[in-house]
Amino acid sequence: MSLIRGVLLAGKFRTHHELNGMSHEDQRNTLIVELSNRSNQKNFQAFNDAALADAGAALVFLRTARIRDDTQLKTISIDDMRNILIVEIGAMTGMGQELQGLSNIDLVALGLGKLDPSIWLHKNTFLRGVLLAGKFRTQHELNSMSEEDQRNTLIVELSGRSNQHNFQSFNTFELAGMGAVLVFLREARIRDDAQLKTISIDDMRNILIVEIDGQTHLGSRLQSLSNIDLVRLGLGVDPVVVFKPPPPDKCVVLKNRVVTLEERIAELKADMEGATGSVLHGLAGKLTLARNQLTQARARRAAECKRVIVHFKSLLPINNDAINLFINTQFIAMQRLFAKGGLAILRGTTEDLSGNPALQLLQNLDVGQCRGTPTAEQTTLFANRNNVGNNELVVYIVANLIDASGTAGNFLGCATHPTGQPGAAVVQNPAGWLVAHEVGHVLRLRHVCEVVSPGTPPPPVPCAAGHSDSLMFPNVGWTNVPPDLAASEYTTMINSSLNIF
Amino acid sequence: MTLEQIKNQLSAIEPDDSTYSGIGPSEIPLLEQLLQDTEGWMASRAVFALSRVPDTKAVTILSRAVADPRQEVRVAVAASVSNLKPNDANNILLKLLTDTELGVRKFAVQAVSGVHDPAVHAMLRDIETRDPAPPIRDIAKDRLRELKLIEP
Repeated sequence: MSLIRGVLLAGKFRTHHELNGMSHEDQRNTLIVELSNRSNQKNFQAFNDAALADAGAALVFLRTARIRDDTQLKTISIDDMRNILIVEIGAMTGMGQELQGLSNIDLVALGLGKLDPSIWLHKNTFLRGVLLAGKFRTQHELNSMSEEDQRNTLIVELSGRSNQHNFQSFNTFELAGMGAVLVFLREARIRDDAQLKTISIDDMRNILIVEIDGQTHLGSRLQSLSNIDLVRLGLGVDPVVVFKPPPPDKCVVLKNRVVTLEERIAELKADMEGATGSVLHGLAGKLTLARNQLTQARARRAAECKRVIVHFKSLLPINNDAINLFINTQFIAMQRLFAKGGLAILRGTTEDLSGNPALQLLQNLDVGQCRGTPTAEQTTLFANRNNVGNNELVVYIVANLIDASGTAGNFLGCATHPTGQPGAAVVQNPAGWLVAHEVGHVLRLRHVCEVVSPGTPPPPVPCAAGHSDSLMFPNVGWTNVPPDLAASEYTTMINSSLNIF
Repeated sequence: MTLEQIKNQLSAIEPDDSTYSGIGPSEIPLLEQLLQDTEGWMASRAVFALSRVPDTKAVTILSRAVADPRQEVRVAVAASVSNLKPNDANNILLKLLTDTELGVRKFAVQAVSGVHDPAVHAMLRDIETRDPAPPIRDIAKDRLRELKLIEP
């Protein structure tokens, strides 16, 4: 099943009800006419359904996200549109060459906020997609907004466009689902703005279920679906895909197995107290078995779940492309490099702390000489660990890292952190592997050498040719990038206590 | 030393004493050039290097750097002013203490010591009562107490 229906709806080329009355061939021909009239390309008859939907997705996204207008699109081909799309998604995500390997539909999915599970710890909300599809914000406006800003924007829109006003109490996933329902009913022209304004989101969901049933005839099964999945069906996603449960996360399964076995062992030990004879003997056997199973489960978890979770918290406002791009590009550069040695890095939360007046002075953070003992200011800053689990890292972004004594000067990064609050502080800097270098320190890596300076005794390992190829070269002048890590360095990071999810 | 060499030496991610080792009066022209580097962090690094060179030319350059448009450069001047002789630091401090940037005032307040001019101490007292930012007033009060310029 192709997404021709979704493209026709999202592009507002046809309404939901019109599409219900059209054959597949009619829908295909309609899209061919639209694409021929809206680009400088004319060979769409030769495209199969998937390629046609893919071409339409690129055009509709560029238009809906207000990256290009109709006049501009009319002068270019679908290939040109794809290239623009790649540039835009690259600017948004920090991803590079790998975007070339994605279909237009996959690129659009990224633009709508789909999160790659190999990068992100949390699940898709499609908050961004709702704001785009509803034309509440443009692609470029969204690039300059933090997730919190996006969430608040959607709350304002939903409050103004329905008769409901309690949106603050919903989590972001629920909120985006509600937004998706409203936007779908509006963009598919099932209800207009005036009609939507008089009803609640629950009413809208009920209307949507009736409409999707009219389209798919799936009946009461639709009641079990999330709002986002209802909208996916409306856009033409195959019901088999929508109803298929997501595969369980292997590491979550293993983690739960370890916890269950630990609890089982504790219970068996408690039962053994006071037990005698054959009962005691039987419990002892079960205890031995559970201990063996626990050892195996722990070993498997250690071998297969080498993950480090990295959160970002910024004392600089996340209200411009530059900060978002800095975070995204630094994270992806680190993730790719560490993945080469089998260490998976997952992206946690991103928090804008710039509005916290208590942290205002820490934008220019005194890190002393950054030699392992945190300053009072570092201790205050690193205490901010909202939504961060034990053993998860936080990278704090500040304006300046300074030794207030004037001795060491200004730092680009510093991995000194309070015990039990792992993390590092960095400044926004063009050095491409700065965050990776600091996270490397947090995971117990040391510099590969020290730069030889006139007038000081030779360091134990003076820097020589080749050292600058390493991530842990002490200067930013990496050569032969991306920088290297030795097998022993990967082992050190994997063996650090922070690497088990 | 060439500009490339000094830039390379100063480009440590986590600088320490050795980062500035061997940099003396003969490198002042190179450091002055680095103050114009397009990357603010490198210009800031040059400020710290200049503050460690005991030479009047370095002080003159730092006196000009208090008006640099880049806040990170002025923050560096404020954080390195304690490396200067008190007589050289007084006028620089008076300007830094009235900077529009919070971070500059923060490090300037912390750099004031008992050996600086009474005019500097008077400005510190003024900041303690009149600075628009409450956190700056707080650290000024702490500094005045440490210097025993107000009652504990």
